[in-house]
Amino acid sequence: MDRGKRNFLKIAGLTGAGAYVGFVGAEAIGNKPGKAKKKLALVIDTRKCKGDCPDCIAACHREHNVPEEHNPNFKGPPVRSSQGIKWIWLSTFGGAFHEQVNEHTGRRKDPLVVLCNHCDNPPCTRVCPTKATWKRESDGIVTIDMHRCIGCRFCMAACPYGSRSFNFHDPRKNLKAVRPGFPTRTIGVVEKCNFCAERLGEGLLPACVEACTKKAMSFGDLKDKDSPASVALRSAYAITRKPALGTGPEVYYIL
Amino acid sequence: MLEKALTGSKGYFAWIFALLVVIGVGFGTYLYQLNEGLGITGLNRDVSWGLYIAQFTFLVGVAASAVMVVLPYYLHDYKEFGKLTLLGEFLAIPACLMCMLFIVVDMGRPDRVVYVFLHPTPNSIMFWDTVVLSGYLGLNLVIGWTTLSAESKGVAPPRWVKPLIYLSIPWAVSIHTVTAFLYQGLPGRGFWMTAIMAPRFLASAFAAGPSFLILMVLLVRRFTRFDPGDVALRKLGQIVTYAMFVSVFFFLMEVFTVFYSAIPEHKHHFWYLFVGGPWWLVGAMWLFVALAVIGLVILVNPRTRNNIPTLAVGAACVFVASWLEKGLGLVIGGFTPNPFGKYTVYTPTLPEVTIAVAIWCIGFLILTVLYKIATGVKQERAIG
Amino acid sequence: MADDKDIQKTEEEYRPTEYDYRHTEDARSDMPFIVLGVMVFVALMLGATVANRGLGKFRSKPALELPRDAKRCIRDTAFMRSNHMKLLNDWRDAVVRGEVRKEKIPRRDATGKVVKDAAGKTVYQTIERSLTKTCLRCHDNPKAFCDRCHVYAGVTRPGGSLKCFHCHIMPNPRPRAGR
Ligand code: SF4
Repeated sequence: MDRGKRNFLKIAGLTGAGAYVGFVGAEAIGNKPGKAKKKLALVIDTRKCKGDCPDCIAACHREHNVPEEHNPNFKGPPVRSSQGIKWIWLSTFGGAFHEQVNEHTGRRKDPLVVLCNHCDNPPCTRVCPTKATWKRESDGIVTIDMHRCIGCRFCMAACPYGSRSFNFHDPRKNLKAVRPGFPTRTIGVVEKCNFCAERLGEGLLPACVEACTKKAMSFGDLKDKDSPASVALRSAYAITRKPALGTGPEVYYIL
Repeated sequence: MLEKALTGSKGYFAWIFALLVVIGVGFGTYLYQLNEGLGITGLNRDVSWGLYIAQFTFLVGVAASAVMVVLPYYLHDYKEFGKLTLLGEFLAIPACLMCMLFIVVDMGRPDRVVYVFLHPTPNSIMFWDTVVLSGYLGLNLVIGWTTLSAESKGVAPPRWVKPLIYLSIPWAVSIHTVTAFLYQGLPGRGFWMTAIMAPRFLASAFAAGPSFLILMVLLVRRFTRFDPGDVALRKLGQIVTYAMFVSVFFFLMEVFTVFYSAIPEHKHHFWYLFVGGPWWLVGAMWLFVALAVIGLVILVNPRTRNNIPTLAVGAACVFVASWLEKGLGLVIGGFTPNPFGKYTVYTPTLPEVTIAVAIWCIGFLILTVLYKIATGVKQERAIG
Repeated sequence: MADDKDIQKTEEEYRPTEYDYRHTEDARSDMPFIVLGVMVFVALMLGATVANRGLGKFRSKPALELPRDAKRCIRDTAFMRSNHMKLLNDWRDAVVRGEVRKEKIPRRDATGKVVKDAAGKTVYQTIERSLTKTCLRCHDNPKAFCDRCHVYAGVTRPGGSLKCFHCHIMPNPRPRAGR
């Protein structure tokens, strides 16, 4: 290669690199997360919810086309339940609060409803390399752009609550009935509870809250003193999962 | 210079062909994975990273370890490494490429990989890892190729490579540091939540990489007339010894902190790896301990370290031990138990292992070709 | 050996090699590779063509199923033809990332002309930025519209379906009179 070509390539390369650095800088500055205007929270009253009915889980999974794991129609490699998708599900007191219980804790084996905590300071969004997941400024919901997710699963490693699931299989294959109003997901992306952002947009309550016949769930904006969530939190002693990590979970459990 | 890779003995082509066969099988398996999703692997909700990311982590170390021959030669003018530096740089190239391949096969949507560059996210360590890794690959390609082509023409390398070589030294440290940051900055993962993760990574890399280089030099010496010399090999042996000592020392510090403080969140991961896990994992972890000890015993004794056949055994022990610790235990151990304190067993599946082996073969293929070219050029210079 | 070479040399004196390239040693050894390469290239190109639509069956314009009753689109046809994907991507980002679901567009009459009020001002209407709720409400059979055109244009392989519909749910096409 002669000198002219070489120099041209060098200059072009350097210019390109420089332009890209500028672009990265602009992206970094332009994407500073602002303060959330609302602070949506879910308060679960464990005195009322004994985890013995499937209502909230069924409602959520129907609403969002969450695939069932053991569909007899499923063709392809068998789905291990450890590869399943969960938005809201039953753990136990001893599981969700495992650092706080011991073998004498009375209710440690009782079922407990768990879901994404829509943390104030979410580590899952911090690690995402494509801005596919972020905390919404309008209401504090931690959301995922399914078009953007590359399926690297860094967020799953970063979430200290095991709230995120990955589409190990084509979700359509595992769905008995598809509800037309909500998109399914595609193979290879991460998903989780979205606090029913689509329903809130229409002025509805989250599906789980609405479905709960025991009235054990209160949902609302904690910046609004009169929201059901604020009222519920004032009335009793509530705890969150792993508060020491500084993530600021917005799902509260009344004991 | 590429033409040097197109001529060779029957054995050379048989080796290349064998690698290509495995790569072909792996590629087919990968197409299957693309079609069915990562469900065909042993990965799951709880152990969401496995063999692939573990190989990536280990190989970043191998790539970074090129600095262990570059630094003495260029900064300390240690002449004996003159013939070795190129082999070190050329080892870094396939290592980097394998890292990238392991990331890609681990992705759920590899078709969207460009989003990492289209939507750069400086607060994500993953973004920085991509940047430093591709930068390091570029540096080594440019440095290795320029110095070699200068050599083949019998002239001194152009002056502008010198700054690049100096830059590559801290850059090598950075790639493994950033890789450690992927893990050590995550809240609620006790096994990784340790400030010496990056130093630990570097120490084990500086043990594993040079020990691999020792083995490669011995192979090169067997099959070609190119010989970097026993003095250089023995020096490498010394480097491996120190690095392995530091690596084991760091590991023991980890063990002390975890078990003396007795914090369950940190302890349980070790328990799973060394006692409670599936037999193959527990076996692998104890094999790691055994090989580390055997390797150190061989390397510490000057007589066995300076005797080339026993040095090779020691290097092999160190390399395998580091792989078991980092290429297997680190990722699996970090994810088990899960955030609910539950133990989900991760077992790599056959397709998963096939794909991983095929990527290793791609690495070996590139390494073979690069070494073929390098030794070809060097021999030519030595003769003519 | 030495004798052979000498004989060849003497032969070459009678054959001017600069014209007869086949007799230079390099070209002779490379010939099979060149032929093989050309053959692979031709096979690949032919294969792609055949796989795409079959030789000789070059179709004319695809028969697209247009909306049954709606006459107006949210943009004019020329714009949609070349920019529908950009529009969909913009909508996607506006809704998912910007949380802006609604959009004001000029109202159009049956012929596609923008409607003006008495004062000559453009009349606007509000629509929802939604593939399923807006686009697919009229284009209720994407298989016979999106897919068909994409296959024709070679964007989607025959029998394949658009990535949009891996997640977004296809509507059930409404019965149509002329089908
Ligand atoms: S619970 Fe997990 S997924 Fe949900 S916001 Fe917190 S860190 Fe993110």
